[in-house]
Amino acid sequence: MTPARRREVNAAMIRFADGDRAAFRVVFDALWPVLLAFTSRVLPVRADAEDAAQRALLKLFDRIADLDRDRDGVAWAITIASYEVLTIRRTRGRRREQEDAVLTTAADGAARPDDRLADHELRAAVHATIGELPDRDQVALKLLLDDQPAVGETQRKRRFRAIERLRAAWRNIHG
Amino acid sequence: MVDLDALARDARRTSEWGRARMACRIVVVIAALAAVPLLSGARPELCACLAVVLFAAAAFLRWRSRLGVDAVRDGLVLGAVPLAAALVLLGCGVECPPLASSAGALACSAAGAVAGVGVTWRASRATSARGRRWLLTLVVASMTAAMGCVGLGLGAVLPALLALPLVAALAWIPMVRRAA
Repeated sequence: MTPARRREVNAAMIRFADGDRAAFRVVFDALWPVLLAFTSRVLPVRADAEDAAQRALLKLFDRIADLDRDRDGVAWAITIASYEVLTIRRTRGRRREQEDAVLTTAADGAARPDDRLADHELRAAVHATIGELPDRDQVALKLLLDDQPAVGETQRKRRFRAIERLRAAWRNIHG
Repeated sequence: MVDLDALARDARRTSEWGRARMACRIVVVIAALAAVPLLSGARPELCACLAVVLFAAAAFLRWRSRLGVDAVRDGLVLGAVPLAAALVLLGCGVECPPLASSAGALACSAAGAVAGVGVTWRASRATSARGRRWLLTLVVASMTAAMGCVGLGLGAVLPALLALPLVAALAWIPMVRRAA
């Protein structure tokens, strides 16, 4: 933008801020390409650049009544745009951090929240199936789930039969 | 791809909202000015009514243009002169019965006259649209003065409201002649 054009735009901004509604189109048409060019230079993704330029333009018009007439209006517009660029960068950075955290958790072997939920649901389904079995099998399976070793041959066989019946019941219910 | 027409519509609407917000900020000043006669014993409903009318006029003028912003600022400051005078008179226990000449009425006239001179002086310093600036400042100053003097009664409001535009008009004449 040439210095003469910059002065023209600044004068139009002052006119618009002073209440001359006809100056709106001049200000809008002059500032949009300037802001878009600025945000496109500093944000590599086109959609982000357009988003930042739009937000900056709307913020500028929102505060146009408070325009400082002694300062350069175009520089003010670019300052607002730079804040929007920073906001978008910060948002993108935060999102990337969250994605990184999920990947790190998976790499460490720790359970992700959705895995924990699936595990919880599976356990509930197993307990419900066990509830369908005779009392003797339920007692045998409870000892198994509590990690208690089978004492004696009788208990071992009882546990084995209980597991067989649990498998059959599971197949009946869940296929 | 950005829809520039939609963006322009949004920007225009946003700018009007921004102006309206800026215009409404004057409510703080008007509420403070209205509290003065209210605390000094003016009728609350009359005071509230005048404050609401003054706020509506001031907010509209400020929303409309920069000229309105300047006129409201000057009008409120100059209208505060009769308001301050009324406060002093109330503090001295002076009363202003309607249609009777009294020291209180005279003081309110004098305060109105000072405000009137101030209105013309401020308008004369404007770089453009002096006539409109003078008129708008006069309207706001008169409304502020009326609100300020309401605690003393009609005997104070009328002299102030007569003196303010009369003196402002008299002071305006030489300025117009000089310009012509």
